[in-house]
Amino acid sequence: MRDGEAVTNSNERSTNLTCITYTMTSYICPDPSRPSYCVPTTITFTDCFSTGSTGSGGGFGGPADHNWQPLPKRAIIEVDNALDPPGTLPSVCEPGMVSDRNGGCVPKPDPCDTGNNILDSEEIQSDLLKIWSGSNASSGDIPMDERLEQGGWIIEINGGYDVVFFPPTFLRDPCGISPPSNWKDLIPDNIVGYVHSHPFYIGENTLGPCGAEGETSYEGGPSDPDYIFLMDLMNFLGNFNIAGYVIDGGKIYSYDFRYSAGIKEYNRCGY
Amino acid sequence: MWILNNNIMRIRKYILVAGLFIFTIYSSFAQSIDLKNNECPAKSRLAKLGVEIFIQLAGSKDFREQIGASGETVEQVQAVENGQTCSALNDFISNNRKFNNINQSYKDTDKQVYFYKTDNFYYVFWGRKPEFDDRPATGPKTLFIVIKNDLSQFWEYYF
Ligand SMILES: [Zn+2]
Repeated sequence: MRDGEAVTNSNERSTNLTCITYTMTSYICPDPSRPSYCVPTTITFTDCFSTGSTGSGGGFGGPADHNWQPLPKRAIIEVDNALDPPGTLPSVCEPGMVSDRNGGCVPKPDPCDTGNNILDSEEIQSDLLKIWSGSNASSGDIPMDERLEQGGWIIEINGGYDVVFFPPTFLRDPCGISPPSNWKDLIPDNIVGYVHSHPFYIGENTLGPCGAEGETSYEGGPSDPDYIFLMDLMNFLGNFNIAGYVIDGGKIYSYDFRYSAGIKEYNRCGY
Repeated sequence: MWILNNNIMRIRKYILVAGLFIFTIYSSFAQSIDLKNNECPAKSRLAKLGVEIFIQLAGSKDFREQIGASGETVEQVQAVENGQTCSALNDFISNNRKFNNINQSYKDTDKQVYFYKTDNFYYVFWGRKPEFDDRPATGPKTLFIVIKNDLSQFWEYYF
């Protein structure tokens, strides 16, 4: 199976299968007391998962829980401003450009038409643009240690969706977001997901900004810490319909309680 | 002549005492290194959750099949608490330049090494210290080392 090979199911719209080829290094150690004498051998294998890029994706599990009171809009505006540098005003942008909601103008991105209700929401796309702009990763030329992960809670509100951005007490660096100890008190009631950026492009060497455990070639998708974050969030709320979203320089990934089996991959849109 | 012999005797005595002193210091130091080597890393709720996710991860299914770890279950996951095993795993890290470099790079940071196990494998990886168990953080894909429990073979997995 090659990357992106399409498989057609006779009863449904065509579904894309995305395949990732893993390279596994195995070490045979003839003398267990001398691990430095282990002999490496390399095996490759392929894992495929369905993607929603043809519009068959969208929606996670059951319907969202509507037993919540809408957040006052004021609260959302306040948190929306968390990414704004003090004193910046929305820009008036030239034709073909749009405000990045952080005081700058960026080329108008392609709108999302993914079939995923959350991603296809205009408000969410505007929020993704703001998250990406705050990530300072608009091009691969920007030094990696100057980029930042950004993110927030995705909430359902007034029949639509919005992002409540993580407040400044959530510490950011290029390779992670670390919440404060009272993070559970800061989760909005009407949460349906959480989103964060990976301010990288496929193939970039992230060893510099991410330390010894970075990737020599960034491969995209959620990480083990991202799954743990989602799992802890779901366990705390007792709500296993919550989805995780990762946006990076090329793709949007959604994932759920099934971890990698639940990954859906979308071409970058909305930001 | 007698005075010279007496001096030599005194010098010998000093050398002997100094030697004994150095030996005592050395052996207690060596013992403290041994004790440290036998120490097991602290346990963490989120680190254990990470191992449980690895065991359930569809993306790691092929990998687990390849290395013969398909039979390992979430229920089997527990921290390594046996001093001898921890000593062997500490040696395993310090004898591998790459793993030792990673371990050293996390000295005096908010991260530490973790040793977990299931029936037939050990899992060695690095994560945030247990004092951060109340707050999961997003982060990059990390190295996860899976080791056969007779230490005869190990594999690297990033996720
Ligand atoms: Zn992440």
